[in-house]
Amino acid sequence: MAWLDAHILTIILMCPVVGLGIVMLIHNGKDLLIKQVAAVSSGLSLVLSLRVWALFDASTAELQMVERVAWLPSAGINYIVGVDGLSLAMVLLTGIVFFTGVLTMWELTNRVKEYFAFTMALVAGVFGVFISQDLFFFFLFYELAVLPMYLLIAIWGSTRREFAAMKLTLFLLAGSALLFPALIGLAHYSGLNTFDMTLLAEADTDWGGMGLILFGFIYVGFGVLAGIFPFHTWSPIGHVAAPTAVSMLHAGVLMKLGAYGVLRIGMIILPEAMGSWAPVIAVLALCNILYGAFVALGQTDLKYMIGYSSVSHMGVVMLGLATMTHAGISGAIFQMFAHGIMTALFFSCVGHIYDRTHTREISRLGGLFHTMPRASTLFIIAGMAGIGVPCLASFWAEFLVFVAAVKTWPIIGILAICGLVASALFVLRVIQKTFFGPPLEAWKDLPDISNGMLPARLILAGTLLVFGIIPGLMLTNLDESVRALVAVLAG
Amino acid sequence: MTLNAWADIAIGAPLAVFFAMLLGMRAWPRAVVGLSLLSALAVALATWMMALNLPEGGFTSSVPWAVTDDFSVSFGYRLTGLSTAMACVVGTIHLLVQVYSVGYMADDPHKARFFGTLSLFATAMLGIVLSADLAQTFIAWELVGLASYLLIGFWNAKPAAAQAAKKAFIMTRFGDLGLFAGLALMVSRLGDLKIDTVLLAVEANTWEPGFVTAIGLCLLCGIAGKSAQFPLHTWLPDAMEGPTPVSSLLHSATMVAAGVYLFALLQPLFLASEFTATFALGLAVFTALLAATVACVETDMKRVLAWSSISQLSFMLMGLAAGSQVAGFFHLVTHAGFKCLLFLSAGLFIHAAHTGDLLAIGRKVGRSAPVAALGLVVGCVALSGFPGFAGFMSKELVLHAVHEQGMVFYSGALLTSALTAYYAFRLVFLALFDPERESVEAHPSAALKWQQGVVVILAVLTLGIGWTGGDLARHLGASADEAHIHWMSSGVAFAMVALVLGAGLAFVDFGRGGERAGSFAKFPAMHRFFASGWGVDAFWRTFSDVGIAGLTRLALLIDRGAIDRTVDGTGAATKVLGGVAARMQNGRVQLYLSIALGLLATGLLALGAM
Repeated sequence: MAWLDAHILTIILMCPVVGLGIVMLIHNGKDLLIKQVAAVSSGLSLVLSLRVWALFDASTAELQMVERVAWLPSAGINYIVGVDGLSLAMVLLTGIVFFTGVLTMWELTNRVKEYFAFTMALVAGVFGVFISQDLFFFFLFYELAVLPMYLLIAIWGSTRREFAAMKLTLFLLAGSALLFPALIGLAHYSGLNTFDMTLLAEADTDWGGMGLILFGFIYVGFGVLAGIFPFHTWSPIGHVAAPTAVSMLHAGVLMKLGAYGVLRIGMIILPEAMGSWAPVIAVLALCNILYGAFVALGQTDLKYMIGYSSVSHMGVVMLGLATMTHAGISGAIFQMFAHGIMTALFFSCVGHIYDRTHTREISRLGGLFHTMPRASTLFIIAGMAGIGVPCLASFWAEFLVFVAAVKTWPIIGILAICGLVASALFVLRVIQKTFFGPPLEAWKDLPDISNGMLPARLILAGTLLVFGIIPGLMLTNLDESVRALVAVLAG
Repeated sequence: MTLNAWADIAIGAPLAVFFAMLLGMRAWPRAVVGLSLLSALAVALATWMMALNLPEGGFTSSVPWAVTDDFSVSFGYRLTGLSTAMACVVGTIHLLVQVYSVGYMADDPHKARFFGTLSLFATAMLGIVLSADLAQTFIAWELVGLASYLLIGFWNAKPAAAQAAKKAFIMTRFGDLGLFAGLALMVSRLGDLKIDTVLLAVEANTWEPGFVTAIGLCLLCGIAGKSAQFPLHTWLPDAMEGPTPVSSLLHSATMVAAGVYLFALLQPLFLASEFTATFALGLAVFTALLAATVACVETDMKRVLAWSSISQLSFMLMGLAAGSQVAGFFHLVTHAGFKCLLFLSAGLFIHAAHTGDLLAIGRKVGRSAPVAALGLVVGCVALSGFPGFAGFMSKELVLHAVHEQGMVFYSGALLTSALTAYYAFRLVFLALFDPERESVEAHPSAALKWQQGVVVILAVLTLGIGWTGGDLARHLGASADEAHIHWMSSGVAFAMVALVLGAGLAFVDFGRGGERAGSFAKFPAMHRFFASGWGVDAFWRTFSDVGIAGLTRLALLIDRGAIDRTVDGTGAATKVLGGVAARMQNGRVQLYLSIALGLLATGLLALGAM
């Protein structure tokens, strides 16, 4: 047990990697076995991320469960992993979305082996980003997480899948093109010749004007993945084309990578530059919130609607970060987690509906509440989380962020609060048109979510409820790390 | 049992029922109904125990809920005269409505969902009432919104019900923006939103006047949304699409009363700003008048009652804004009784007539439903302000308080009183005294007994409740004199005149059979204006169709036309550039040579020019 606890982060990282290896060795036709391997590998990583959660000591802002292996010392590159309050929730989020995503795709029949292989490669990259404390590995894992998306969408997708996959990949690579020089620049201009993020953060480097430029590269480079306005259009179209579980991973986890990158690299290493950029970030975040909601309101396709709602909700994350306050940053991280779970639930319900009705056109659906009470109830729960109904996790996130924003920038904050009505408008409209109303003849005999497919959705809905009722679970773990960050930001 | 434990029961018991329903007990509807009734009984008991055992100076408890360095939210109970009195009203009405629903929903296949959601509603409402922290109040406030959404849209297969549910949620959300903004502004100065902290800050007079006014107006927005005041009131008449017990609960003791309760709770904050108080008073008088005129011409029984609720809520706010907590809150209590009675009686009529149309009810049912008729008469007499009955006693106190604020407000309130008497008696005459009544066989059923029993109990309560003013005032910590009615005063005389005029006109119009259109129909333009709800609904429809839809179209245009086109254009431009570059790499030595020579020539020329 002691050995396991000491290496737990690396073991989590290895879960999908080993799973990937095993899946590659299995004969092509044995679909069930492949799915079982994927389920075990994802289940194990979920259990281990819960273990990390339990081991975590909330009373310190230090990195915990650190492992350090020299890699290329002459170039200042080391394999360093560790978690603090900022990344803890992201590890758990990845575990949950990975596991439920695998369960959601249990009925897949098309090229099962490749599908799960790519998924596991993607998840390995995501876990890697969230635990890496070395810029080089951070970037490596980041690229590993982004690339499988192309294949997952282009092969298993639907509507305009090749176009969407290409657009998404080009966008993200453009982001990477900004990131790569920025990360090298961090190592170079710090004068330390190291990629160790802790050392870079603690060094008393006077970045001056270079800091501003590097931060801009980092903000835009990662921001593309977080869907910041106006670099968001790849995201909804990617959702629409992607298969269900890929949408879950995409909105649930991948978009968080972007925001996490801004937080972990931009804000921590370049706090002064963050101070100068904060107004820009806040204004763009406000655009995300309001503009995303109104575009969502105009959508006729369920997945587009959810895709744009993600654009709106990611704005809340960026707004929270831009307040540079304890409440705002805590709220932003809470929102990353809550939004990840919520969109995963959204997409898993829409996936079920689409698989049965073969349409996502809101105008063609209706009255599903009576034919699919389970899918409808779960969708409505996700929807209520989306509009910030209390006792669901996102309420606290939005509450903290908006209150902090009103304090820091009253005008932007109060305008952002108006987003609450806009999001209520589009979510309730969809619920009314899709689930309420008289049951339609065409969809009368469609099956609801079966008992076997229910647990994945229940885990997601349960998580929303638990964190909604006991926000302290999240906030205590964030407390010290965010306090340390705020102190750094305040100079 | 400690007060804290009773409060836990009041909030926890119904919540447990809701989760039991959500987690699969839907399969056993009878069990859910049984549990739900038990919990309602426990809630009613707990609320009364809290009120009766309230120590001098009240009781406060709190545990941290969400803590950050900038501010924190706590969960706790703040039991005072006001909150326990309100809790009793909620607990009692909730119990009666649950019992009534046993009969009303007997044949509904989804009754488990109904009772579960009703319980959630009770939890949320009591969460507002007992809360010690305004952030907790806000949370419960939003949960009330959620529960009402689910209940109004209970029969969501009906498009009208689904639409009404959405409208209720959105319109109250509009108000909640203000509420949230107000809370956020306050917490930016305070660090937490405990009610005691806020009231202390108001009392200490530390905030600049402009800030107090701004907060007051923001909070007033939220109150206008929940308590259905102009211009956010339009959701309430539509909310009648829900099952009748829901209408009854929503309109008497819960939901709409929440706004008034919040005003009563934070009365010092509102009164601290002259402008806010006067604005609230003016808004209330205006809304009261507007709603009363619409009630006079409305033809659907439940919608008449809905407009009447709006108008009566305004009376409560008038009392509070005029500075009298006892008057405003007493009116809330009496109104909870008689309005609940009216709705439940209406439920009996509608059940018998299979329609909500007033004339049809008069023709088909009328006096053949004696219990319903009794409830209607007692309720309407109380509503109209007949001396000695519930509505008169409390409204008299409100009018007295408003009188001190100026003649404009007072005359508006009096005029509304006259209109109230008119529409109340119009309701009675139209429903019970139709001379051309067809005799229809009554269908007695066992389920009906539950409903009739509740109506009788409420009728008795309504008769007695008007005389509890003194006790209530003492419980609120005021002197019993504040609830004393000066019978031999000009105020009572004016109120009597208003009553006689209103009731008299109703008798002339409807009491003698024959023409059933009423005096208002003699002025068609005015009649149309009133029937359209003064055009407020049309305004919001335009706002939605033009404003919101316009913004949506604009956003879509920017997204597809500008941003995405630029993005795809960048892709296309890259492709074109790539194509040009590729064409140059075509392997023909002649082309390479000519390019090289061309470049050389240009270079030489450039050199020569220098």
